[in-house]
Amino acid sequence: MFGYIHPLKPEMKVKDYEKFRAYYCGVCHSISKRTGQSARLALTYDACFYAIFLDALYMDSETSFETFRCIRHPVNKRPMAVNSSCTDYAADVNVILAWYNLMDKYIDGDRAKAKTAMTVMKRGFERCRKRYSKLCDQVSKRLDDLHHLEQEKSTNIDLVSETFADIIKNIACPDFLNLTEQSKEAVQWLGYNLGKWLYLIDAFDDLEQDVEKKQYNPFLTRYGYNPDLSNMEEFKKEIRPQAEFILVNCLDQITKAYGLIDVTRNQEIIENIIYMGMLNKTDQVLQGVKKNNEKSV
Amino acid sequence: MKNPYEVLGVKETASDAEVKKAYRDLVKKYHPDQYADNPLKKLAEEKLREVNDAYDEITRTRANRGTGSGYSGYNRSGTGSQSSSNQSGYQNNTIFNDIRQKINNGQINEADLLLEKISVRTAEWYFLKGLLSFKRGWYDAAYNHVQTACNMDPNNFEYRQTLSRMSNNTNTYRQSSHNRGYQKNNDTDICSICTALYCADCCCECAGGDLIACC
Repeated sequence: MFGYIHPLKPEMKVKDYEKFRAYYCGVCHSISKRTGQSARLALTYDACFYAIFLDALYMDSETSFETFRCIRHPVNKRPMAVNSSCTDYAADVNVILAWYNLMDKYIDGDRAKAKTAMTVMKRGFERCRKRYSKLCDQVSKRLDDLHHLEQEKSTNIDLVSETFADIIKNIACPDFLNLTEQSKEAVQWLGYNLGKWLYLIDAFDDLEQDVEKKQYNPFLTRYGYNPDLSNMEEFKKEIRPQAEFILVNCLDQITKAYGLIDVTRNQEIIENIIYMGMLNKTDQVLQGVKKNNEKSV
Repeated sequence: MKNPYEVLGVKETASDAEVKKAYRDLVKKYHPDQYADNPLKKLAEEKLREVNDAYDEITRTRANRGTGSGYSGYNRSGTGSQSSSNQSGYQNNTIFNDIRQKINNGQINEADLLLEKISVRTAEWYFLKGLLSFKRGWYDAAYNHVQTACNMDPNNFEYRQTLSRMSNNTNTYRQSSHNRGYQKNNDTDICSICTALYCADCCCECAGGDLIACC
């Protein structure tokens, strides 16, 4: 469920791209500062987007940009977003989600790999859990629900994706933003649809893999894939219009919710991502283009 | 009250035409049709009212220059589009009307409870279930329910209209992405071609030759 939120680089202004990178570095730095070096491995683009988005909503933001040298980029100094409660929050959320993702992998089978990563990240996660115990409880509760639905082999694709949608919805609106009730409602609706999109695009991307490993996938159960009779290419072709309908409707709702939120900065980056980057990703995944999601910026 | 120029996102020195254009764009953006099945409909209505008020304010203050309000706003009463959806021939069926009202007001769970109590599942039942599902973010269920309603009552204009509106959402979104410069399958970018050329050029130069003379 990670690494699908990208900007569409060719359509981006250079200054916006620089800013995007600065936030990325900012989040990375926040992770190492708050949860320890090892958790840096968990960094995703998604967290970078959260940071940019939250900072855009945050009226009292003190984010500033400074140039730094870091381990990953020792030669050239790079601009980095600093003093930002938004990069800090996004960093913590990144670690929390990565932890639960590993846990999920552990339960699903890939034990050795997940276990190693979890040992490395354990301390970092414990620190985050102390900071956001309520949020962690909510996340773990909804993931339990998801796990039950997976075991039941649920055919209700809406219900299954709602579990992850609720998680992002809860994360999307931290108290420090001090939003009005109405903005909160819009931000939560954006988060809900973002979570749903993330879950479903990941599911569609993993179709082949899940068939191979005999794992649950909502698209397989919903549209009745039969491993003995169905051909994967034909199956994909058949369900593509429905999958597109759901995914693009999520994106449409994201942009509609965004239109109702008062945004103070970063508009160009956010709009690039929600209008083009995410649609590009959707089209790629629907067409079956496999790409490395986590190439560093 | 907010500064009306800020609401419209124009400078105070903007010409009447610019103000009007900004106003029209915002009206389009917040138009009730855009948010017909959306749980944030109320918020959009409020934004629209704000935009209308701002535009009124500006035209009033500029009135002595004789521009007038020419472009009468949408949705002044705040009820807007929902009245149009009440003419489906089931008007005497009070329960369905009640449920419709609840869906319109955003009381999704109450409406769902009422719907679940009804055992005879008519086309209207499926239609309302579909509307409700959409507002909840259950797009798969929404599409299927409304489609069922259409199949059961193919002559109903409202059902068909809703179904096509749902499919249309994806088109409008794609259109706005396209307007910003997005093109499908245009991702293997020009950058990679340039990089390849540049690399080839460097290699040639290392070897003493030159591929691209100017650099």
